[in-house]
Amino acid sequence: MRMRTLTLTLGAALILGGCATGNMSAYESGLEGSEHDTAASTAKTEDIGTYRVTDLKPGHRPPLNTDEGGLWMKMDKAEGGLRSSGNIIEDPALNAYVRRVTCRVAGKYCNDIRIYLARVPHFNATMAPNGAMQIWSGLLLRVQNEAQLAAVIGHEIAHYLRQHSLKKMRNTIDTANSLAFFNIATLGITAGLADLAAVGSLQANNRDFEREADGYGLVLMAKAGYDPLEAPKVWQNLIHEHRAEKGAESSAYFLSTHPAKRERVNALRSLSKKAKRRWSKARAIGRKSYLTRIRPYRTRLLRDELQLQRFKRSQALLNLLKKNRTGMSELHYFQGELYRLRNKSGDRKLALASYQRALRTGRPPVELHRAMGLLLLKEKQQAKANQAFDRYLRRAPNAEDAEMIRHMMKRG
Amino acid sequence: MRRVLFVVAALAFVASCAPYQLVEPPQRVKVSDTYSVSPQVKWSRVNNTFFKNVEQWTVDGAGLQALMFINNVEDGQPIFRSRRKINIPVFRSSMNSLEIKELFENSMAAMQAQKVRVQNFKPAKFGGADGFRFTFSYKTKGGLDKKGIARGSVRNKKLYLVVYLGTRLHYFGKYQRAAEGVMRSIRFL
Repeated sequence: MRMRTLTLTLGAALILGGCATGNMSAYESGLEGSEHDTAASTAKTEDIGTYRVTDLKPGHRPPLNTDEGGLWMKMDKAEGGLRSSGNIIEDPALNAYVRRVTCRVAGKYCNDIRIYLARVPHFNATMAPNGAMQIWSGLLLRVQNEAQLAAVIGHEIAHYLRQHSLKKMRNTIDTANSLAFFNIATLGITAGLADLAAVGSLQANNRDFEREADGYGLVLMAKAGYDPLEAPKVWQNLIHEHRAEKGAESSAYFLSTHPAKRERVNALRSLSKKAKRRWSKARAIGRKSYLTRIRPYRTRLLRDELQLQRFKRSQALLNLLKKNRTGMSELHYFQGELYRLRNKSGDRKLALASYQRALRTGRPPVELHRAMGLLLLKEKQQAKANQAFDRYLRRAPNAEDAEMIRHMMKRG
Repeated sequence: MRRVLFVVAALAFVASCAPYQLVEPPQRVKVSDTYSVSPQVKWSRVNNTFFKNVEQWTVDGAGLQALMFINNVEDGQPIFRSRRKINIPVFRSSMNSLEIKELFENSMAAMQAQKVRVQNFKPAKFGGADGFRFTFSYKTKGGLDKKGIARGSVRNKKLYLVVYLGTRLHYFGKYQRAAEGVMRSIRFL
């Protein structure tokens, strides 16, 4: 069991994702760096690890006979699986766009990072030690502008540049070794306590890495000209969504017992102000360019989101997107879809009103007419339902369900 | 005597947890005490499926192709009742066939099927009753392309669904006609 826990921890240590944070002094060192060297090492960063950004040269490839080489070999193999995975978004335009933002942030390390966009409707991005970066579609749907995307990418690139996975692996092995020693020395009597302490120290390490990545991420995005003040907003919006789903009370409880999250936003906010002062020309937000690029995929991504049937969370997301006033007709349609799928009392009326609004505002997805037909059928308004179905079929005569809908219309 | 008893006990044990049981033509076969079907090829019934409410047949192995009988889904139950706890949408007896198709898509997505696509959604008979059929395709998490066909109906407020799926390469096509034959032969008891 103990071994399994350690194996699990080791496995988890290989892939990095967004997590928690503690104090902020560790990554402030990044802000003191010169224009040309994000690696500015201080005594504080040396506490975390002896590696510095400059230790990792562009085109870095560790020798095979090292532990790092072994880690890379494993990751290269895993990356092969990722490449052929069923949820990879292959769209060339979207990939090219994220690549451009990544290269702007990564600078001379651009060629060391490979991007994998995965169609998963949750907020996440990960970085493997060999430079394979995964970004989930739920994240693309949630960030509001290019600067916010750059903030996430900067954070992940920082994990890569600071070799966090390698350090985590070494920490885990060290912890496992000392644990083995401890167990032998005490004849295993205190093994449970030792395990607990070991896992605790590993988690503390992870927090250090996360806050360091936050700090270096800010430096990277600011140097690339992106407004660092956008970085904490990513987290604010996420917390807002979490609060909407779990309720304000549960969220307050969650945040009070897990101060890491709140602290992380606070730390990020105050650091981003410092970064803004340091790189005052970093003003790019890229709201319009981001929304234009993401628009062609948004319908699909919103459909994926609603498929989860987590209506409170989806509602918070829709509210956030509506603030942008982009593609409002589509957003009203999805608002209607949320009501239709939630199907609480009164939801049908709300859904129909949202669909009407979508129609008044612009050109919503053609499926709106089918959804309207469905609801009108439920309301026993067969004639009106048929009109809606007819509009759907006229716009999508070869739809996958055309024959069934014609059959339903005849029956009515 | 003790040895005989041991052998009998061992045999009983093995038989009770045999992973497969042969389903042979030409006689009609009862499915979940709900309806009977007439198989045209030799299928193997898989005894331990991932889902509580699914009877599953295969020829070459369930990972390659599977014929799934999903019966008596009641109001408030999901189509696929997983043995593991997953958040999966539920069937409502007030649903019409369009909504059931949507429920199927959402259920597949909840079970990690990627890029689910339903096509050729048409009215069809199911054991003599009015129902529907459709084809579908999706990718597994690992990137394997799968294809499937489904036929279903709501009868006495319960959903009945038969799904046949397999790898797009070779195995789906191999027994597609045999599976369609089974679907057409449904006769409620």
